[in-house]
Amino acid sequence: MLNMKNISRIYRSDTIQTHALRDFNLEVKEGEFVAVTGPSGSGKSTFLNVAGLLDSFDEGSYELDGVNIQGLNDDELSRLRNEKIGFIFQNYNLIPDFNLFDNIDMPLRYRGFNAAERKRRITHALEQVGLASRADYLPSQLSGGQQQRVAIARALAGEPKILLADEPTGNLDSLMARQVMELLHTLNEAGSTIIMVTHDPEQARAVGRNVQVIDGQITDHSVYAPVHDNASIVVKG
Amino acid sequence: MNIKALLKALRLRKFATGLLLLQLSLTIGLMVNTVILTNSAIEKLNSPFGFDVQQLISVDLLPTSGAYRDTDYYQSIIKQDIAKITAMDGVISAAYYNQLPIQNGGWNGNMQAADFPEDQVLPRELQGVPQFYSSTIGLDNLGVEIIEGRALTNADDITTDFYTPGKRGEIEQNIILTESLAKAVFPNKSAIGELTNNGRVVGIARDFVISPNSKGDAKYYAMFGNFLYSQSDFEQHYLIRVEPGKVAQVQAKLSDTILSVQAERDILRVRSMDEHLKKFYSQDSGLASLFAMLSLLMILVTIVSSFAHAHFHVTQQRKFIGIRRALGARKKDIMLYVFSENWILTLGASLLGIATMIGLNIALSQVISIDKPTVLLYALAVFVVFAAGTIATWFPAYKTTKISPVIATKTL
Amino acid sequence: MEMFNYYLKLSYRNLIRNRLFFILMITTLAVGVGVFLANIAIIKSMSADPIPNKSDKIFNVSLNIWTGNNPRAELIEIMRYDDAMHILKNDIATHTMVHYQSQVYTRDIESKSLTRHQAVVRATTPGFFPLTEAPFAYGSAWQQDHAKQIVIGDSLNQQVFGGGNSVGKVLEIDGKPFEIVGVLKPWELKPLFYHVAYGQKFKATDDIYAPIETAMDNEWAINVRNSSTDRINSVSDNRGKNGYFIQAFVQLENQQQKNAMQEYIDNYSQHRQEQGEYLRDNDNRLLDVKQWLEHKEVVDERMLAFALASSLFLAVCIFNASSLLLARYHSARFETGLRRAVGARIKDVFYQGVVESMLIGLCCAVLTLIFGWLFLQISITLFPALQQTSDIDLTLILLGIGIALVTSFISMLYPLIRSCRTPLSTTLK
Repeated sequence: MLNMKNISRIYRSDTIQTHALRDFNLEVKEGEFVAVTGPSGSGKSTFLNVAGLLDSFDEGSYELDGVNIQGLNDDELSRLRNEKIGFIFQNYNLIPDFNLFDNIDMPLRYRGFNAAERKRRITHALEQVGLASRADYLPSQLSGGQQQRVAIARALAGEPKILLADEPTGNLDSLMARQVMELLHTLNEAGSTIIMVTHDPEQARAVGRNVQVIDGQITDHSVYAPVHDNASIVVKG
Repeated sequence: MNIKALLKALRLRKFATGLLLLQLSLTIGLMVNTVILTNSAIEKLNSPFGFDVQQLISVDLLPTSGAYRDTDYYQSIIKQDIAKITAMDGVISAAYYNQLPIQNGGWNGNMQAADFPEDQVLPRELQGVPQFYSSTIGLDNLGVEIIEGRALTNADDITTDFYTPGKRGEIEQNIILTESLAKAVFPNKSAIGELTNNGRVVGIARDFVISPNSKGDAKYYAMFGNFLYSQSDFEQHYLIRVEPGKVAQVQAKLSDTILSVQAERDILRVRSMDEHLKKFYSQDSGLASLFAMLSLLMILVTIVSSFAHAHFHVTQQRKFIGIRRALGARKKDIMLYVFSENWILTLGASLLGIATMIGLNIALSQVISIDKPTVLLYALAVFVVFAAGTIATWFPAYKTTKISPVIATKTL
Repeated sequence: MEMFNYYLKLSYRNLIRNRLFFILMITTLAVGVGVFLANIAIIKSMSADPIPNKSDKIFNVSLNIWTGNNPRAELIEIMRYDDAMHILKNDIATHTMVHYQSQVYTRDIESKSLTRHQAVVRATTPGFFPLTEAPFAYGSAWQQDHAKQIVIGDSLNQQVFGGGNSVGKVLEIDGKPFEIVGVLKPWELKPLFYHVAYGQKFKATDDIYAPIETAMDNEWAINVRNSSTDRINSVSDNRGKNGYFIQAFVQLENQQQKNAMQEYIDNYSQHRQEQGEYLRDNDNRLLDVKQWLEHKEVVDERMLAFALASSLFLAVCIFNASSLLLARYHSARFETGLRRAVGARIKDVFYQGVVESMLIGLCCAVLTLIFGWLFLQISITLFPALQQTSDIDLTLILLGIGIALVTSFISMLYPLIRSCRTPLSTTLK
């Protein structure tokens, strides 16, 4: 699904070169749930930006869902982001004066779906996160946890190959954080590939695979057995 | 105050800053040139004319019937008109003129000494000297004194000879020149008693403004003769000198008074000399008003953009302002910070403004006549832009004081 | 098309959300374009072609026949009676006309009222009508040079006779009868190319057209420029003397005709010179209507000066709008970044910006037309002389809308490019 080999990302200023990623290798298989941890400044964010095609890399090779990223132009990268990747941000990144429907609608517009198809997908995505009845609410009328679920719905609506989550619970209190994590697990169990950056070791331990980044390199691959059973999760609206 | 930090902040937004700089400097340039135009229009209107502008009313009229082709008839009607007008309440004196002072074009001719050599070219300003014909009181009526020689008398009247067949060619009239004209025609001697191509000089009148658009002393050039021009195709002019404060009262009754003598006349205009001047300069003052309007609009745009500039700056920097506050900056320190950004911009714009001011002045001077900018006007324009910018920045600056230092602790 | 609608909806929402901001921005831009448009309206009608179908075939004839003593003076367009008669006396031109302007008071000879109407007279030759394409409603031109016959314009016909076919009716001028042989339709000519000098350029067309010989016989005064180097006692006394007051125009279809005419007038001044007249070094001149209007500086220099200022003002307004939009886009970076993150191409972001600038442009266009009209009224109030020259027509309205759209787009361009260029990974944090 995702295969990074010897990736380097160097930030240059006038005097200093900073290796944000060096010789970075990671392979993620379809259906995996990977947690990426590491201290601040370790290169987690750079990794996520490169993985999400938001940032370029200087050396190495990166293959996403069988497509070699090297040499693609901006249009092709945009297309890939739109079709294969779903983003979930720490601060949700919802557009404040769009209602939920319009927020989820946005990426689908760029895919060129017709109105009926968009509506079907939006409704389905909102159902998946348990907010179907609030399609015309504005983000400000929702709690933080609900907003993050809208962001997840937006990521899901495009039926991406892979979900990239950047500290998805970083701004949430523990109850809401748990609900969001449960939702991600459910999605993973339903077949979604998820990469999640987190600083919470407990959260990290709760997922299938754990990767630690220090100084732009992967230092640790630990695999934990999933702690969750397949009991159905009730998501409260 | 950390000027360096301010400059750096401005440099980070160089495009927006550059646009604002250009805009402010153009405003300064346009404003200076506007004030120059307005000033010269006002100056022209208020400069002394050398005759009694405040007390004069002019009437322009044309006969409408063929009977006036008989010059004797025409003359008798004109004399009756003048007598009747002079008898009106509030009127000091009245006289007929072939043309009025303050005009373009008109009845002009060469003016040279009778012995002017034929192979020499007459200076251009002496080629079109206005020739005025009126009665003996023509100059007096205007409020212009004779400063040398004598005034015209009834014996100087050439009207009868002019309209007697065969005699026209033999007339040698007596004339009065204005002081500047006399000097120009007879540079090295007194003009009194000298013969010109237009007659013999018997008197010299004090200078007064006749052709405001002529250059130098030529605006005072005029010759006066005693003659009642009575050709019905051309406009006849009466000038009425009234007692101070009676202009409006007399003006209102003039048409009826004239028509009561004989009705077959078209009274084209009755207006005070003041109105005549305003009309004469209406093009200049109109242009000045247009420019003034434009300057006003530019100041408004300056206010809008200074406001927006400061507003967006403040919005963008909310967090940093909060941090500053948390670190001990007082409200007025923050306000000063926002203001000084505007002031630095104004300073930069005022430097650039020198170039736009001069450039625009040069460009304008290609199409119209315009004076050179002065330091005072420049300073004035800079001040206006400074004041407008400061006022517009006040609201966004005030808003910064509402930013709570708590913001600093809310991490991203 | 669906994307277009989507972007339109987004832009509309955006405009409503940032109401104050966009009102300020659009208003300043519209004021700038409005002032500019009002100025263009004036200059455009001042520089209009009065007779577009043959402005390149009608020529003013300026002869080098002034006998004055100043060798530096410019060639002038007025000529003597004898010169004019000589120009009429050839079959080179398709049409030839000479004229001078006069003014009379006239009334219907049958009328009981003694009220006379002021009438501007064009004392001319029959060639005037085909050359200027003066539109006849009734009748035609006079046939005899000294005929006491006249053609009248529509407004005099309305004033004196209340309109209608007045051919055969008689006007009294100075106690003498003149028979009307032709009546013109309403006729507008801007500028009045056959008489642009001496403040007449934007006057209405004339009231009475009379044979030039008749006008002189009856001593109808020369009421615009009249210069002489001889003593001349009356209008009719000009025949054979050095009184300059007549202007001449010819219609020449091609270069051969023009060359022939040039040769004809050159021969004429040479002939006069041989007869002992003192002539300056100037060349005889045939200028077509456009060259002629340019030569006479029909466009008011004050308006050109103001055009300079108003285009600077427009630049200021564009700068202002642009810097406002830059700030706007700066604050909208987040949304742009988000769109890019979920897969919008640079093209999409740019397209959206273009749609928004079009919407802004349209709002701006509406305001521009209002402001433009307003400033035109202000200009007319300040310059009463412009009354005749300020037409708002369809092309002008389209021009206004066009300029508004273009300036909006220009203002939007740089901010848009900037927002497209923002690196993606930085905006979403």
